[in-house]
Amino acid sequence: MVSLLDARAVAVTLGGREVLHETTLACPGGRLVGLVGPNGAGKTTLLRALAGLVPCRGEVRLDGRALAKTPPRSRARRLAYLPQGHVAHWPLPAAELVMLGRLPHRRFGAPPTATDAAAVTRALKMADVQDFAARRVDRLSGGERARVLLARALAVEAPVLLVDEPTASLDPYHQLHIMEVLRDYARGGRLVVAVLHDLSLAARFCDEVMLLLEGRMLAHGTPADVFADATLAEAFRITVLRGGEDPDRWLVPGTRIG
Amino acid sequence: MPTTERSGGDGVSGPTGRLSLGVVCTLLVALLIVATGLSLVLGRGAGGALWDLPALWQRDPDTARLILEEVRLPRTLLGLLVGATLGLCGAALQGLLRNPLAEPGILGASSGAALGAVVVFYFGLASAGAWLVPVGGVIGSALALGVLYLLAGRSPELLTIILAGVAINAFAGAMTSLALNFAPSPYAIMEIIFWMLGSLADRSMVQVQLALPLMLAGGLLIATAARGLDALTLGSDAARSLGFSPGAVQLRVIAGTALAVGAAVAVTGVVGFVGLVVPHLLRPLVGYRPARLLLPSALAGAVLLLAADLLVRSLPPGPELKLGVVTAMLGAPFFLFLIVRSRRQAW
Repeated sequence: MVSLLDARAVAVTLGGREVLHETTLACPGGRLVGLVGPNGAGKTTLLRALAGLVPCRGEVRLDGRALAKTPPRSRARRLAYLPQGHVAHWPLPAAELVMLGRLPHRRFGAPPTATDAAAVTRALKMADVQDFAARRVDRLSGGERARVLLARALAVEAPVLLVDEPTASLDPYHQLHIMEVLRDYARGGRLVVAVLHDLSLAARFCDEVMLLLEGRMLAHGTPADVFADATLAEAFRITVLRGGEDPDRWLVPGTRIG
Repeated sequence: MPTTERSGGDGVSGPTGRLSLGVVCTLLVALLIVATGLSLVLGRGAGGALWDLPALWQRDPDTARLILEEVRLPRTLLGLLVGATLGLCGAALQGLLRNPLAEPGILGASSGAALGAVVVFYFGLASAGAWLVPVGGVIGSALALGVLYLLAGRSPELLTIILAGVAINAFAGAMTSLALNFAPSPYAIMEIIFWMLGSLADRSMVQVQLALPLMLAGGLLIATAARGLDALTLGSDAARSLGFSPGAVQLRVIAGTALAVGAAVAVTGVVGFVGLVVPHLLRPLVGYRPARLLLPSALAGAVLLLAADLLVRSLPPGPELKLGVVTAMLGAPFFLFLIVRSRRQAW
């Protein structure tokens, strides 16, 4: 299968320390890929390297073309990235903030087209923030603001979507909602890679999981493969409780080990 | 659903209660035309009457024409250009640093430019060519902004930026005082004080010709960074993922500001706080998006500076109150007000 995004021997050194050791991976479209690992495992670094945001050795390829050689604008149309931290430096109305996701599609000085407006409306609906489209983001709650910023990344409508902790600070209803949205986004042949801390959500919704530990890819495969008891014990130092209709996919953290 | 509140607007064109960019710009252009007209007509000649030109035109058309062309026109044009420059650069710097307290004067760009102009003048280089004064201004402004960027560019925190500006202003002020201290003649002292106070008086078309190309180049450079400023609203990483290099945006805004403010200060001296006040006055009307603020800020800056100059000119005859003194007297309390307010809320 042709992969939408692949990394060949990618390694990242920050401040003299190699935070991501040589990693090779290939992600075909049509999948929601979860990127999990304990704090400091290098999840965000890998995601940033895949987005071309951090200098790295090796090569990241988007659609079979070297990311570093792709012109910024065309890269921006094909790959959307949501950083963690819910950054919005100016208190724009939610819809105007989401419209910033259309910048790669708009010509210099041109007003938004009907296509842009439609993409923004779709993104607002997907993130369930259409009801406060006109409200300033500084007057939204943390979770609402997180969803507005996710809508900004969705509005790019890029074939590859990289999101860092998209469910952080969301209530349970919206955690489930956003995971469904990301899964549906991937269904149309697009690729979503999401950094997730919630193993239950990762196991339930992801088609594929990558588990990072100390800057190395410890496991990469289906949730059933990656979330084996022994692997979870090694990476997270926890046991999990399983149940529901599929014990491979329904799990919650149980107890700490050691 | 997390909220049942329904706000106005269709969700795409923005909230209700905000004016469209076209309406705001049309209003500002209308104000600008009025201010330009008044600036050409109003003034105190030898007679002392404020509304002097129409009467003079009937008595002595040749003198009236001379005053209009040689005195009022350059003064008005410079007021318009310098005001637009300061408004535009203030809005651009606030967008770049993502901070509503940024301004060419507060950040040291203006005092750096003044020092550059003073250095050229002090060492007698101005006699080699009048164009060297604006060049000195641009270099001084670029150095000041370069130092500011080195000190505070990587961590655009309010305190670091303001303190860096304070340090640059203090240094430029000290060097200008040094030049004043060792000034070779009272004439030289008067010239140096001119750059410290800022004024549109007694300028000619030569200054307009010197400054205009640099201001235009700076303004165009800033305009090319407009979309990047919008993208920076989301932070550096998101901006890069949207195809904008934060470094390139920074370079354009800083170089553009250095060119335009350097040229402005070289021909009129330091006129502070216009760049601070103007974007704040406009945000309630046009919103917070940096690119959207640029054009209205340029227009409103021109209106504000012409209005301040009209105020200076309509005062009773006597020693002239310098324009830079007026803007500082009005702008500094406003700056203080913003600091007090920003301690309570982010914007």
